[in-house]
Amino acid sequence: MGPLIPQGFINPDLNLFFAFVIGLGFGYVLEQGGFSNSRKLAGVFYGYDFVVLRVFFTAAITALLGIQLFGYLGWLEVDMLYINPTYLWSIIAGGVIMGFGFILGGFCPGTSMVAAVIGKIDAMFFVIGMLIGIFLFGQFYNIFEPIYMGSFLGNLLVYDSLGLSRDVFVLILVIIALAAFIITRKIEDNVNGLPVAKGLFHPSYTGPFAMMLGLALLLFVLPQRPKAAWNEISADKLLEKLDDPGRYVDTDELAWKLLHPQSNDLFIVDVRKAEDFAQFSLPGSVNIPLADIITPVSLNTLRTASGQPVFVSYSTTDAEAAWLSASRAGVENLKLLKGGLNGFVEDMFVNQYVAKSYEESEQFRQRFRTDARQMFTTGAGIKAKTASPAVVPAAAKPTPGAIGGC
Amino acid sequence: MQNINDKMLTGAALLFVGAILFALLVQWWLAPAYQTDNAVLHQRLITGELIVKPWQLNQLLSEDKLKNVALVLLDGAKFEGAKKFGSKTEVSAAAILSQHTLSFLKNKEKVYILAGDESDALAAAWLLQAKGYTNVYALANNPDFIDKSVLNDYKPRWAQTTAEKARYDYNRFFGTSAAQPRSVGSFAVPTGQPQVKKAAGGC
Repeated sequence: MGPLIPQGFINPDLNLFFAFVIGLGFGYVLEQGGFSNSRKLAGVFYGYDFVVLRVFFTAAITALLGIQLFGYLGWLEVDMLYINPTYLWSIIAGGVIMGFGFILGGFCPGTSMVAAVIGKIDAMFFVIGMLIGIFLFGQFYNIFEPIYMGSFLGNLLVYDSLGLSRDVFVLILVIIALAAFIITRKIEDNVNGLPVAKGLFHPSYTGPFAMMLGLALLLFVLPQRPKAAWNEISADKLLEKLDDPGRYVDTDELAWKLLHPQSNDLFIVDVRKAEDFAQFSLPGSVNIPLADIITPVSLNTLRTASGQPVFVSYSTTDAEAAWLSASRAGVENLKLLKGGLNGFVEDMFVNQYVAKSYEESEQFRQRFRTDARQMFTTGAGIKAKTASPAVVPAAAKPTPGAIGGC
Repeated sequence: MQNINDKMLTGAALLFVGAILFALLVQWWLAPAYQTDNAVLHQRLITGELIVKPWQLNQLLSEDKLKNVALVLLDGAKFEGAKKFGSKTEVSAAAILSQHTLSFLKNKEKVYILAGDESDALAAAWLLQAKGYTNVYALANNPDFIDKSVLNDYKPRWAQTTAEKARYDYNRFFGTSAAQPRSVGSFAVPTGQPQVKKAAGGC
């Protein structure tokens, strides 16, 4: 689920690499679309070629519909998308300067680079002019700053500013885009002296128009989010899993693994609040509070955990809550500590275990509990592990690991 | 040339819409039949909406409204106070989604689930809420506690008591101290805040 870099799916160090690859692709498409030709670009101001306007409107409504529908499908966290902040004065001044530059030079910044790369001399001059402008802006920033930072309005969304619902705005913008297609085509034919097509719009637009309008209307019909995502586990399957005693880790297993780090295959996830975790935590555990357990980062951490994820809380209740939400979200093979920290303390320290028979396993359990209790109480089980560090997700660091055995 | 452009535009639009419709179809086909979104349900878990605390039960009792509440006892839990509820049924946890249980829940104003372990009651209530039975809640604690400390001898200090509570000085048992260098920030998994970078440039 995107965005991929802020959520840790892609290493942030690769940010510029992806920008470079996407930039190459964008440049190639611009060039292939004829956007390296200043006459074509300037045509929008003279009325003989509106391809720039149509391309950018197409891109806008495709992105708009795609973002909304991907958000509905759960492929995209729309709330995490970066919204460019609105500085009113710099937008007005920048818009005027760019408009003049566009008319005079026949390029905008991106298309000038594309044209310069393929050897257009006018574009090279345009790029040099642009660089001089950037240099001057940097040198005299103090003078420009009041305009640049003036009238900050926050991260505005158009539909919020207009008091419209998102779906209404999408529909209106799609209609505006389609109207722009119709009007610009008629102006273009007129200016170029071509026979104006009969009817409201060119027949070849019928299909794309109908499809885009259809998607905009679909957004009206669909709820904000589906009640269940396609990768979720059904209630019946969850019920089967709930009935499986194998989803619990008991006191002895946890104690053994804490005291034997070399055989500890558990990834202990403490779901208590951060302040409680700071007061006490099991060695090697990481803290993902219950409130955050189904964020994309947390689910990714659980899916890619180096060991068997085990939820821990004071009792079984919050661990169970975390198990339910994360399991439904599609994370397989989750476990929880039976009885929680309270149960662990009661079994290990409060209630002395007495072997129920002379059987070897019972005798072993009694000896183990006695020795383990001593190891834990003296702190020997919590000493920092200096050998090879446990592998945990990059976003989470472990508490010191346990050493020793019994 | 114009004709080629038109054909490409139509083809691209078809591909785009086709891909979206295909994804919607896959979503509709594969998504399990829940009535409540996981995020919404998780929010109810976090805020404790799914769990009925002792003070809430005591309030119903003192206002004589417990008769309007139906009770589901899980896995044969022994509960003396059951007779104070309007109606009662006993089911096993494995049969919580059975027809018998679902038909019992219908037309009930409120249904409370009680189990030997609070977490079992919570899991049952969560499953039923996920299936759209939003009148179902889990009773906090266990039958013994509710019998003795809520329905018979209620004390205000037990008002918020649930199983999920720190009951021991854990550091004493583990030979550790809270002062150990375990800052919350360094151990917590970050919650995916967007990295704010200033955008620049135009087209």
